Amino acid sequence: MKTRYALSPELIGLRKNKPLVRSHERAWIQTLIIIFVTFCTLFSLLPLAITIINSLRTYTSVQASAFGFPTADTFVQAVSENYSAAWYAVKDSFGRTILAAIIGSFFTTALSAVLAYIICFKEFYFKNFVFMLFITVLLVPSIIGYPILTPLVRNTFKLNDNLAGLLIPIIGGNQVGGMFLMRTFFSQQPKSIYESARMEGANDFHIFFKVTIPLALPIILYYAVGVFSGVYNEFLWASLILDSNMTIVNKMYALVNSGEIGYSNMYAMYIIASLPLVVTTFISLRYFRGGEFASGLKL
Amino acid sequence: MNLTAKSNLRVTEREKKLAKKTGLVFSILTGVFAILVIVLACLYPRSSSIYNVGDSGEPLTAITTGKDGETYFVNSDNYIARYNSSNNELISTIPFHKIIEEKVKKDGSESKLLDNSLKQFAIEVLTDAKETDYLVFTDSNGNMFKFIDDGVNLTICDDYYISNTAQKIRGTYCEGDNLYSIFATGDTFNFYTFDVSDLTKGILKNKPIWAFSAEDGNLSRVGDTEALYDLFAITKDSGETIFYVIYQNRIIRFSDQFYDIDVNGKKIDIFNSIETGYGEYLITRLKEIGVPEEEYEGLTNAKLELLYVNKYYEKYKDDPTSDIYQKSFDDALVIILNKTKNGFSTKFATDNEEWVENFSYGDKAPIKVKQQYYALNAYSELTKGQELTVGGMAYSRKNKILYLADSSANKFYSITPSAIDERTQREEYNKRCFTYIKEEIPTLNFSGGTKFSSTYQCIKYNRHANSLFLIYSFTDDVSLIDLNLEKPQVSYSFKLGYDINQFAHDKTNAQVHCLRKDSRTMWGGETSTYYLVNNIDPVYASKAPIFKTMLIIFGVLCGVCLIVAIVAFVCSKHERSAFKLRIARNDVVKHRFTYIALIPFVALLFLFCYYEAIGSLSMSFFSYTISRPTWQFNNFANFITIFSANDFWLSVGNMIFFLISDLIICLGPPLIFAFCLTIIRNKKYSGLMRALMFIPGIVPGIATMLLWRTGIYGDDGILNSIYRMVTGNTDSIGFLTNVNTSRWWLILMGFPFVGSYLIFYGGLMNVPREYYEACDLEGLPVLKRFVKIDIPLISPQIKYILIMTIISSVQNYGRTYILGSAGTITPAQNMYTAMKLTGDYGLAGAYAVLIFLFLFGAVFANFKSQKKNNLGDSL
Repeated sequence: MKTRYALSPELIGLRKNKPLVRSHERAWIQTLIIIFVTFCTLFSLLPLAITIINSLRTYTSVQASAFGFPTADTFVQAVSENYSAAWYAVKDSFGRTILAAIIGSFFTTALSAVLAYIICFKEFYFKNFVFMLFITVLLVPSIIGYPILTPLVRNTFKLNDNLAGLLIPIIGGNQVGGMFLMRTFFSQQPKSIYESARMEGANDFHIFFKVTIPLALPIILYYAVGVFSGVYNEFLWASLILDSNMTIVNKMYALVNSGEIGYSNMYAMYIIASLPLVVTTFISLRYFRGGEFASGLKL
Repeated sequence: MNLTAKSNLRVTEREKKLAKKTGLVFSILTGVFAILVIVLACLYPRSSSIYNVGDSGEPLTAITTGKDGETYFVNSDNYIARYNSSNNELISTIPFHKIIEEKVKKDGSESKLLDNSLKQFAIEVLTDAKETDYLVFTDSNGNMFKFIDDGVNLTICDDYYISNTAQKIRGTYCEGDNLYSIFATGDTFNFYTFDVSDLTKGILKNKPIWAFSAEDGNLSRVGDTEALYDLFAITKDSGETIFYVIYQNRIIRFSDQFYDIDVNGKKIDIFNSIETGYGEYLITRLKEIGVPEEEYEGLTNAKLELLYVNKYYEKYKDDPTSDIYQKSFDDALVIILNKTKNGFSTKFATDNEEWVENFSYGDKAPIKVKQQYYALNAYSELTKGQELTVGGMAYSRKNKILYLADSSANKFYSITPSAIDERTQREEYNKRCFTYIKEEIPTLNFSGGTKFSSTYQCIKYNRHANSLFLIYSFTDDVSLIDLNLEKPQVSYSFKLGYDINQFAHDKTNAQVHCLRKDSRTMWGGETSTYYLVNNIDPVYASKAPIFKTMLIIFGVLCGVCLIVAIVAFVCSKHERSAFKLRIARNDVVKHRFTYIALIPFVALLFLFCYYEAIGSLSMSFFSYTISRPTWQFNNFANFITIFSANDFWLSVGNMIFFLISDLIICLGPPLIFAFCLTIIRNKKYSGLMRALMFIPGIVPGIATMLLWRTGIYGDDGILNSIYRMVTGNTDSIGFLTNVNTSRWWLILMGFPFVGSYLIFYGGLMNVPREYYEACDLEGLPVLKRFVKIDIPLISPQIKYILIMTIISSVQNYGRTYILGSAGTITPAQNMYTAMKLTGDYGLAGAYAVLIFLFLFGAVFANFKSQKKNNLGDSL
């Protein structure tokens, strides 16, 4: 279907000898824009650059000033010292956090997908009511539940200092956001596929695994990656529940705050802590550089 | 569905009648259940207060049980009250210090008392060999007075003991006519023996006690008098009494005979021959290891001992068969000799003489008796690394077993004293004087995870009934353990009340009394403290869980019946409702699997979202802290605390400051950046920039904040390095420590703020290209297009970012918590502090309510202002 304003071949033909130069495509404007974009990008990268550079410098030179560059003669020694010390300090919490993030991400995504499927494709009398029940939660900030959630998990469930205590409320609370996101995507999938699947005699189980999930794989992956980094970065809830089995973020905060870790080791520690997020970032880059998912993000 | 609905459109009269009947039946049921709930609530076991010292009263200091089950309690103003639980009779208070003063004045020994120093009495009932029960009063100066209660009056006995040494009596134990007690001053304990039938004889024997701790292999002296819990004694067949003193995490065991055994097996009674006997003994030993006489001639006992230990150490230090345990301190070397075959069980000395002098008791050398340590903390190596902290101890004379409560691991141990005796004499003792027994401590694990009270009375032994009360501090539970059974077990548990200071019971455990301190916050934030004696019937109280379950069941039933009744009545009157109900019912039956599948999701939702939100709202009106997890209405004290805080307006101001700055930061730069990316002609370059913009996101948020804190704003951070380079100064700017300006630096964190551009970019890419082509045809400048076309079309994304920013900015406690100074506090940070640091969940709940109200207002206003595209449509 063509709109009234569609650029028809005739119109292009009319201007064939005089190519269309839009005002913003002029060279000097483009140069300014490129300078602006480059400046913003480089400045955004600056903290990371500082981290990387400082993690390659020796302890004494970083302690003297955060502004400096690694020197060739001390490079190997500094790198091995910084990274081994940082790894030694965070290795326990590193593995623990990755495990927690994978488990949390898997269960949250699975629950969200099933819930979104039910809400999207099943017809039942109380559907609107149930949907509103879930959606209302999105408008209630999570922090306000903590005064009661903390004693509930710590005292009633006795899950203090336990990864289960960290994850169960995260899974229970995050299913709503995932449902909301996935439901939008599921509803955009062509109805005809579902109708033909039904005609072929597929039941809900088949449709969910064979049709819905493959079609919505990018958004499911996006959400899983999001929950992974969410759990990985969780600070407030983790600090309330975990005492000694800290996640990496809490561990880093504790180490830096108590001054137990040297300046240069600290930067190496940040780099180590970033490694799992490099993987998730690559997945994001693969699918979402264009921001296609943004159509699902609206209120 | 419509078809079925239409065919059943009519609601027959029969159905209406049925609905009416159902409504009647269920309203009757509702009434019945409501009455049941009220009755149960009235019968619910509560501890009653039998004695309440109001706001102005003196704190209650001691409680004890008499021989006939009556209870005595004392307050710090030296008044005593007697309560008889059998006839509920409370004898009015008597100022017994007056009685004592009169008595002392009459005897003419008034001058011995420090100026009116009778204070902070403790009471205890002790029985002498003739089975006479005395009420023994001890005060904080170590004075002891005896009273006899004939049921009517308290009569002071003629004999008393005036110590006036500012020593606190920390533990007493009666065995026959001997009254053993431990007096404590500073970090020193003195063990005294009295004759309970005649206190005027004074101290019969005395002995100082020390103990060592070998935590983490570091030997250190332990001397915290507050940590001494209890004392008991066992008289052996040989007539020797062995004492077990428990403090901190060890049991010290020693004999009353105070002797050492010399080489020939002859006992040397050190107590009686303190000046001569011990010296001679040491000289014998010195001769034995070949020390010439001129070296020890004319030395005091302490110096003799030091000399002996040093010589002994020199002689045997390289001998692998010797059993010298040595440990260096900062200023001294401690040597412990365990030459049991030579008669020495434990010795210590040092190369620093002053140190010995400090350790010694007057002229007496410090440890001259058989004294061994039963280091329970070493036991921790075997209990999954948990520290063992003795919360209390009780000794059952009948069972001849010592019972221990470990308040850190919540375990309950029983130990046979003979096991300690045997163990301390084993050959392993040679390696170290600290030893442990694992297999000989059977544990009784119960009540999963409730903490034993850390006050010294977390165990109370009832000698009449041979039973134990165990008191937990975390919940208000008390458990009764019957020791008459072969394997001790919990008879029942009941709730008594928080902050149990001291505890008493009658002979048969039919009544339990405890001293409690309570406080209540009044209007205006004033807190008043009052003291009370609570009384409860434990058997009845142990039934509380049943009452609670029944209350919940009947309450729920009552509610369900009420709903059914209302629905039935409405349906009988109102045809449309009846019709709707029928549709709903048919639907539930038809889609039952969908509804069943939804149950876990809804359950999780209610458990982790609705319960929390509603709970926090309710909790804000109650006081609920980590140490006292009970819902107690506190007259809006939480809100009063928040609003009357000095920095309340500062925190609100900061919250609004950060909210506005966050809105500008999150909506402005990212939108411009996203727009620039879309109009770059070189698509490859824009793709590269977008790829690069992903990279900062790999650093965890906390790491980024910490990096800004130290690496950029810190004293040696980038900004200060540049500042020093430019100005040549050597000082540094405290970006984050300056109370007035730090908030500006906090919002500058994250410059150039374009990180969240992606959603805008996605929105811009989804704008239909046809609009752009039309603009091109119209010759519309790109900026005008941006304002007129792009922004309206991506308004869903803008709204999304707007609302998310409002919500996350107000909740963002992390930024101010990690980087902030005193000038940047926000309500969210205060809430976090209340939860994490002070454990005041009620206060945190009040903050949560205020934050929620603010957010709700802001978000609601936002939706209102954009009525065109309201929530319902976009969903």
